[in-house]
Amino acid sequence: MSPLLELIRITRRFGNLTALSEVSLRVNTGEVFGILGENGAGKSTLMHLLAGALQPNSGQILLEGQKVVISSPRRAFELGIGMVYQHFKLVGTQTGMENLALFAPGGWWRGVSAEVRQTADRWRRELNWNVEMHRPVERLSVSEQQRIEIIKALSLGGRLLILDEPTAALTPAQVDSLLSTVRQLAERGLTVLLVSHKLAEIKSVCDRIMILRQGRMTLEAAADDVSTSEIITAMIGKDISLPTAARAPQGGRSVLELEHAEPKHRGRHSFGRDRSVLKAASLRVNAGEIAGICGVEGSGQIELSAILTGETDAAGRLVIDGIPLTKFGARRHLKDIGVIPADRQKEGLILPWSIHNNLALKAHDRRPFSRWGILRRRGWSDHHERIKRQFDIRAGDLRMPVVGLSGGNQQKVIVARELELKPGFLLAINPTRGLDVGAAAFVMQQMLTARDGGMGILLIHDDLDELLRLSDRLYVMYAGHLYETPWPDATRRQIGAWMLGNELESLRSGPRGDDGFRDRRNGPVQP
Amino acid sequence: MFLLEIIFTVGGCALAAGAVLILLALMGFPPGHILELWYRGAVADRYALADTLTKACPLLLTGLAAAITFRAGVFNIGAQGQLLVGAAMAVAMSTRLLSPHTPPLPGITMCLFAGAGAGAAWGLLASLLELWRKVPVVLSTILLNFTALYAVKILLHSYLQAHGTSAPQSSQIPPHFCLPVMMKYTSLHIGVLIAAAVAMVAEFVQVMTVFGFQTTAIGLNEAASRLVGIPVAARQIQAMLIGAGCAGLAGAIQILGVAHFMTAKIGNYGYAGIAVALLGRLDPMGVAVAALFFGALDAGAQRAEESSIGLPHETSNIIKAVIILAMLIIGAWSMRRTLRSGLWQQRNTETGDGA
Repeated sequence: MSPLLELIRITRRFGNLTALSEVSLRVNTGEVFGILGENGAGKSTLMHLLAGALQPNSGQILLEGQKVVISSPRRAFELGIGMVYQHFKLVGTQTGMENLALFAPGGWWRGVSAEVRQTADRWRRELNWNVEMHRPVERLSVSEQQRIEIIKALSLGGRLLILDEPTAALTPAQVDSLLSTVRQLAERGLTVLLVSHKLAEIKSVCDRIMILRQGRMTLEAAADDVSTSEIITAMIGKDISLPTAARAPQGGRSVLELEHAEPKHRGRHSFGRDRSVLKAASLRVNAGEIAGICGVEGSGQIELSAILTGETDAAGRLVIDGIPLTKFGARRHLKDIGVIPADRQKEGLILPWSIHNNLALKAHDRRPFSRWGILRRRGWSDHHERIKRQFDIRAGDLRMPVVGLSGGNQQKVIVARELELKPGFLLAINPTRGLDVGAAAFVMQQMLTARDGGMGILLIHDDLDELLRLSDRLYVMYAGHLYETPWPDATRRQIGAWMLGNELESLRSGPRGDDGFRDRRNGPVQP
Repeated sequence: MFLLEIIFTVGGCALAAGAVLILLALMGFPPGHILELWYRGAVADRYALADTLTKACPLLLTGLAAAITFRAGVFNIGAQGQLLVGAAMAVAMSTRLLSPHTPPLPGITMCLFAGAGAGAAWGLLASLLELWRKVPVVLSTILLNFTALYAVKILLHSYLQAHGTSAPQSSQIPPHFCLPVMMKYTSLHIGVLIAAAVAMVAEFVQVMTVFGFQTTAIGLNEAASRLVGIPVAARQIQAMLIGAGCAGLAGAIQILGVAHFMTAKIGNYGYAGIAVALLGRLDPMGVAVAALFFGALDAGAQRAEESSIGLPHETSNIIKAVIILAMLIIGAWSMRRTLRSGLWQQRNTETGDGA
């Protein structure tokens, strides 16, 4: 078979970060090619390069032996490359046909032309899909939306189909049907690039696979020739022992208990929201420990943190410091817990404001920072100067807007603000994301110090190395379910397997096999 | 930075006025003469100044109505409706509800409070619609402006209508309920002092209090404010109550102080207030300066209109509109500049850290 697509030594950098480093690969016509990797391994960058959303810094892309420059998404369509993103790019209020017509080669202003309709019908017949094309997309189920996306990509491109995490939002039955469709397309001579975290699926459907780790290709092989264990090692890295800060369990009182929590359904106006994967999550954080949650992206971490911060209404029970929260005043508790949010600029800081104001954001309405509703700014200066020294915030003047600080120092402002009040419970989401090594180490050290001072910390983190280093106990999140692991009595390789959904049976009968979620897992699959 | 902003604002105003003057010159109005008339009408003597102050008064209050709510991230476009409702309430109190034998001080006080209360209630309607049914405040307040206008028209044809007329207008306010005039031969009423006091209190609240800190934080970043435990919904409703109350007060003061009876054509102070608030950078003291400026524009335009050259009375509105355009352009430009300088500093600090 001739190679349809060939990448030669592709490198892409973002500032100091090298997202892809000299990656080369060949994809043959009619092949299903799987790309695997952890979060941040470079998968998305690679796909964006192919879909024309990004340009490589160096290296070449060959399509059927011809050198091509994919300068824009439109150019990618013209070259026959169709892309289906994990988060669909559909206009919710328009019908499937109208969504297709938006990108039709003749231009969107022609509307749903006979040509568009014929192409769509042809693909529907070939795939034997009875998908509703004349209803607003937002009223369709996720899997139907995905089918429309695939039809869109096929009728635009038709040579190379790229699927980004296509099974993330699907039920097992829908996954099976999608994977058989993928095989069917490949047999028709179409080439499919499948990007996924999920090992089992990739192994079952792909001809060949490639594994990325930290921007480099660590493995390329025929899917049948490699063992699951080899794949996990290539993805997660060698099973080396790391220094951890874990201690013997302290058996402290619980500062946070979550029982069978899951987002409440919001009725029919839920386009894009009904993909919530979190199911009946139960967990417990004790005083004086760091409980970590690991899992591949999109396993339910976002939903979990949204429940903890009161962003979404939840069914279930949330107890903080022994006090159960009721729906009324669902956000009251935010005054009493610490939160290091995932996005420091959007959720953590008020960028145009001074460092002073940002440091005072949480404590400003308590004594001595204010009295009888009047701010006492004079008292702030000394206090904040002390915090600045203690947390090593590198800024000339605290009156300077926080937008002028580097990412690391911005994060230190948030960490200082949240830790300094000594809350009983801290929720930290990706606290070191995007920080340089020094700042990351500092933030981690601060969290360990706070833990030793008796704080209970729930750490949701993308970076497995750091997570393992910090956690006293560890939960694995997979497909919306939480499993408690025997960490630190588990190997990295085992954890990697659990994160990818393998060998989870061993955990189900584990130390905290809560009846509630065991029933759920074995229960009927949601439609 | 702050100084630069003031320079840009003043410069923008001057440029806008200059542009309109050139336009007028092309139409055959001598610019020198217009400027002179303007000067005489707005600032030349105490009578001109009194006129400027009187015209600035409702603008200041509606400007505060917009500024206080905008700051908290509540886009209250409904000052006009709140003002109408407040004015109607003041008329109802003074001509229908209160006994004519009520002494002036409690009578006037009750009228003003009723006007402010009615305005606040009208604004609260929009806030509650957002809280319960997720109706965007921008939409509901605009629509409630029309609702208020036609509701007031119905009232002016029925309950509030002056006896013995068929025109849609109210009876005269009893003289002892009218706001006392502070200077002879002018209509400079004590409402101006009330408005100034409200602006000063607003400035204090914004700079010095927990309430001001929290509402400003919400306006700048709602998600972050929520995560640090600021009660966002409650603060936004409170800001709406205060802002809409200011608009209602503006209506009541305008009726009791200047018009002394009510028709539905009370003036577009509510909409002009949004312009005043933007020009004043949503800061109560800035709003006061902007309101004085707009008041002077109106006073001068009136003099030029009444003079022999007969300047069209739309002129001052055109100048205001051009100023707002200039402000928006400058605003967009300076925001880009701030962002760019912020990024530049960030890059600098990062390389500094790396060393």
